[in-house]
Amino acid sequence: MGHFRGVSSGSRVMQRRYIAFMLWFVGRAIVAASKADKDVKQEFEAFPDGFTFSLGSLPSGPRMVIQKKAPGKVRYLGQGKGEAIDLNLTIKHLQAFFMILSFQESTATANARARLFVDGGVPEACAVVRVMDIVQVYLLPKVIAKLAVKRYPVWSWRRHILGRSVVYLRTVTGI
Amino acid sequence: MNTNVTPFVFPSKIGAGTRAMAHLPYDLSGFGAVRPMVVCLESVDTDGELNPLEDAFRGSGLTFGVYAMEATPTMETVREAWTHYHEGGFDAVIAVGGAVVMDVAKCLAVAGANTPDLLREMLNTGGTVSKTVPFAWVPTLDAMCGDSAPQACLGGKQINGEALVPNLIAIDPRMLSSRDPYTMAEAGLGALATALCLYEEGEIHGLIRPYVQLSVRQVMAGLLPLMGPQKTPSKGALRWFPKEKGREEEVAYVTAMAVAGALEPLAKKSLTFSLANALAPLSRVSTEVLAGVLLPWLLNHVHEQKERELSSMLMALGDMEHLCATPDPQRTGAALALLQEKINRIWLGTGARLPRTLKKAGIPRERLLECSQGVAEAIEGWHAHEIEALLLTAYEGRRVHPEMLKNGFMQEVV
Repeated sequence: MGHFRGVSSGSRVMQRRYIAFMLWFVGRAIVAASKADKDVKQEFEAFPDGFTFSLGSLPSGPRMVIQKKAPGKVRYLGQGKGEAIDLNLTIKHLQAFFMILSFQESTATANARARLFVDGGVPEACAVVRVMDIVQVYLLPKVIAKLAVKRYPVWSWRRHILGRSVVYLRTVTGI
Repeated sequence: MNTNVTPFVFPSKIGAGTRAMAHLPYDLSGFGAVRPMVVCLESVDTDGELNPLEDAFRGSGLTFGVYAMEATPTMETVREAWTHYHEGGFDAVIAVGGAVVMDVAKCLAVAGANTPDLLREMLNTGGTVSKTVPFAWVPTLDAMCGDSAPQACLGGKQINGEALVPNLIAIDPRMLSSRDPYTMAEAGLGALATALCLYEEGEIHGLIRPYVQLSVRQVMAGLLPLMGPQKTPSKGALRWFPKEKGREEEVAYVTAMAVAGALEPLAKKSLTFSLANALAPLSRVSTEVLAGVLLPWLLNHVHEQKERELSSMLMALGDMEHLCATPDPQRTGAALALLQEKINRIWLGTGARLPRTLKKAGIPRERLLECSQGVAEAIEGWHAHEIEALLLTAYEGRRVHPEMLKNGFMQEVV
């Protein structure tokens, strides 16, 4: 006859911490870019006031919540404090999220492989992905950013150097 | 165009590729399942082959149970598994492996939604299953094309029903490591025959054609490269960088097995499989191999004697380039030649261990007449002497004209 054993799911402590740190940094960088970059400003102008979106992982993974309070005012709300979420981008499991945030898969590739789903409007989701792509280009060296985004943009050297410095400064200091 | 009603169902969601198993917790939750039970062979559990599955569930918040079964299951195996299932409060079944593991897992899924006594009754009466618990399949390279078919066998008895088709199929390269080339060749021939025997009646229904083409192409894309010598595992520092990309052939092959299961209910009604099932008890090889032996002869016969149009088969066996480069009147001949070439390559890949004729399969010649008469009574549109000619052709590997057999004499034309 056969034998039986139970298996508990366990946890992915290091991956969870890495994802939480990356979301914290990227969240602050999105707020910084919303003040420093014209393309990100334009994307947020298209959102209504009070628009809130989140990016997180199932089942109860780390997430980041971003809210547009008013024109030109974007806030990073951390893990969220119970606000109504207008757009929810959810990654189905921590492994997939880790693959995205460690640049083994781009967001577009992960979407093609059905690793995430969207609860909300598709145009808004596309806008959020464009914002994240711009932020990743600012934060990462070209070699790594090309893995993370679908197409590496052609920017002037001024935008690359000055824009990147401003985004990093605002992200770290929070101004 | 054939406007008759053609029922065709394939309700499985297939996820194939890197980390496909990681989707299982989410997909199972879509069925309301939060505590699945895994069924596998004892050797799979003791050899640590379940580690990738455990890794896929890590961090999902789901606990699961593992029932490692013996290699020759009986109704008591299912009853024991069901006891653990019921007492542990499980609500879904995941089968890891193929063949007997799938049969037990399907029976457990039936028993889980009903009771073991109802399952026993269904097995005794050959009943139709209408309800199972959520059921997922993680195939390994032992998969056969009947594993995803709407049927299950236990102790020589069979139950049927679309509810027996897995809800989810997760084809993950991490589970596709150890392989036996002969078993794979057998299963590959079976999948090829399952898909291509549907051309016996000529044109295939448009709903079914994509599945046939997918199945044939994936078998050929996956099987032939895998029948070569197995690569030795990397040593030293390279073992930390496993080449998951090299598993594309394995994924293609197993995908073909999964999809071919959808075609099995239709293939069972074909002459190829009716003959293969009738001859299997007389032979030393399986039904799948016999179907592979019969298929090229039968399709040749159908084209030449019954003048059926088989040109669309070229799209399944070749590709768009083949189709465009071959003039319309020559397409059937090209398709049949490609089929023979592919079967020859499978035969060579097994080191000529597979039989090429019914004679080499160990079937006594004197039983062919009896077999042809039995099958002719069950299949419409075929006469006994036609089937007998076909069987003789497949027996010796030489052409026998049906006109020579109308008077009941078994003669040969050299």
